[in-house]
Amino acid sequence: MTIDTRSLRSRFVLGTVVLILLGLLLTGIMVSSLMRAYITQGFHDEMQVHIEELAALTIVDSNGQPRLLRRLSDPRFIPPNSGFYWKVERDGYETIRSPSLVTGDLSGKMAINDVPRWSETDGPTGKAMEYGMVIHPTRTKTPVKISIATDLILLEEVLSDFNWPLFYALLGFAIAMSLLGIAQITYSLKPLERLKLAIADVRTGKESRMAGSYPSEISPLVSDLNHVLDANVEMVRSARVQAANLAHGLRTPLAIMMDEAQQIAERGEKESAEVLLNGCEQMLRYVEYYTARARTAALARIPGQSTSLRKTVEPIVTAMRRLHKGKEIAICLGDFPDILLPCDSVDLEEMTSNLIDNACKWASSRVMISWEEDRQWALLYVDDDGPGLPPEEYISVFEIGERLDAAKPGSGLGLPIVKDLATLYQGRVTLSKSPLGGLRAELAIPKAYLSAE
Amino acid sequence: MRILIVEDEPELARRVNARLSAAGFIVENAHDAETALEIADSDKLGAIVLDLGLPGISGLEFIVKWRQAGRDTPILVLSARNNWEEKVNVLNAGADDYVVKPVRSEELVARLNALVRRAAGQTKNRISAGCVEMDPAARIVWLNGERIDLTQMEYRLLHLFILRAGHILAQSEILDHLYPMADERDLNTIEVHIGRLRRKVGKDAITTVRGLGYRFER
Repeated sequence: MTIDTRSLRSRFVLGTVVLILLGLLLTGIMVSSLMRAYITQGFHDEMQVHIEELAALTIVDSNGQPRLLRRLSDPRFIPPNSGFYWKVERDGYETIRSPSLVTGDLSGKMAINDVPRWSETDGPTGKAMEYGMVIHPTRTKTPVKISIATDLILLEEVLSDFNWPLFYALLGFAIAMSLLGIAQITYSLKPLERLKLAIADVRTGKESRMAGSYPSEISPLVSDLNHVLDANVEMVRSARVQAANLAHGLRTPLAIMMDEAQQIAERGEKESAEVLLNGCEQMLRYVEYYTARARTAALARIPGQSTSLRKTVEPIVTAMRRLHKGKEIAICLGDFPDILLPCDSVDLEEMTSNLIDNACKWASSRVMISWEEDRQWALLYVDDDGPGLPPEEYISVFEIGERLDAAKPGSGLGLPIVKDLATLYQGRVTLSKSPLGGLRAELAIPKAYLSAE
Repeated sequence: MRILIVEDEPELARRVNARLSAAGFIVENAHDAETALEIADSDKLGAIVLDLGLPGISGLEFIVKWRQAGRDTPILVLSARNNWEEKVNVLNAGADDYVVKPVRSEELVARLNALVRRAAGQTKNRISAGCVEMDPAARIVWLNGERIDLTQMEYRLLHLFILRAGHILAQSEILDHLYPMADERDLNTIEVHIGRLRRKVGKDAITTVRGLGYRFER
């Protein structure tokens, strides 16, 4: 499993889990150490009590032999190898031992003076905590050495009995804390998730603005984004009005100039007229091309746009049937499921209209419009049964001012404009041989802006 | 054939008028849509050449109002606007053709001829009735396959008759299609022109319907 370190959520979760684990590890170590100290001290206290009891019970009989007045009160000194041992020795006399001390022996080296001392020694059944002291029973001159010990493994067992439950408890606590932390992070980041979805909706064109209420920390950002979106829409609207005004302002005087040139030609000054006409036509091409670009919403890359392909194409087909009525061509539009495209409606209309109009100009009797989609692309096909094009011209017809036939009406800018628009939408337009025998124009538009992926 | 030009730019209107007149059309001008909508005898118009960017009522609104009034006059939009959104809207509102300014006069005339021809139910480039055939684009007329020469007035009259073949045309209607300012003309001039045309296309081609007008036989 890999963790996406770019994800804010992953970072928070990772940080929270690491901090919880570290915190609880330190807590565990601290609690365990305290517990060890406490239990060890308990063992020491117990040994002190036992050695004092042993000292009090030790007597020397009339023969000088050390004896116990009675057994030690703790029964753990009785079972063989129980881990609790004692020993009383006096030089020159028989050493007496606890019933538990059946194998091995206590070192007795801690019995140095009359103050109890202790040390870790090799006991009869492993490492042991051994206490020892010297006592002087009455009427004796030779001291009696008493030793008492307990196996350290008993201490470790007690500690172990504590540490494992402590470990499991802390582990459970860590898991619970982590889950709570993740839940809290998820809840806290939910507005960001909604923001992400809202931006995706705007990007794919499902929504034109970012909707919904957001926490006060995010709300200004959403508001600013909406302002940017509105400003972009307004900018394109204004650009379109200006383009229309510019086109109108230039075309009308150009129409007058071209008519004047025609009149000059009719008066016999054909060369002068030709110069004028060529100049006018060149100006016209520039006017048309650059006003078309100026109206293009794609230049502003406005997200939040969604246009139905069917709703765009259907009125165009109706209009084309009127426009090309005299040619008696059948314009067929199949019953394909609609596709929503992240395009401005005017731009999509410009692209599809140009392709369909071009097909209508060249078709003999039939134009067919169809489309399909895959996960990433929407593909529109416009087929005609006209003469088609030689493959070597499939590219050159997209060059500005390239006209398929000067006798056909049009500026030769339709296809270059479609190509420019398609490119701006990160799509493409290509030509190929149509199954109808003529030309096929294929317009491919991505269903979302690729750069935003 | 009467053509109405609705164009607010006077110089352009004058030039289009001159071009269409030279092509044999009887041309009237209106400088705004309101004036055009008030034309009383709109049913006698052969076609309308309409600018879109008009003051007051826009060209698009004019088309909608014109069609809503039940008028089926062919409308050719001659506009400076060259975007498809506008074209599609205008065509779907009821325009029959869309030409972007500037346009060569030959193309404008050809497209107007095609519109008028289609409106008359003629689907081919050449229109015909009885033994007469006409190519409006080239302004050539054939009688039984033989080319015949006509004067401008005879051509206009025959063009109208072929487009309305089988229908009775009143003298006033004919006058409207032959002359600008037709109200000031004498109806008797029609008889003179019809007499001359009969001599060229055959006297049986045009029937006088007493008290009503004339009918060109199909």
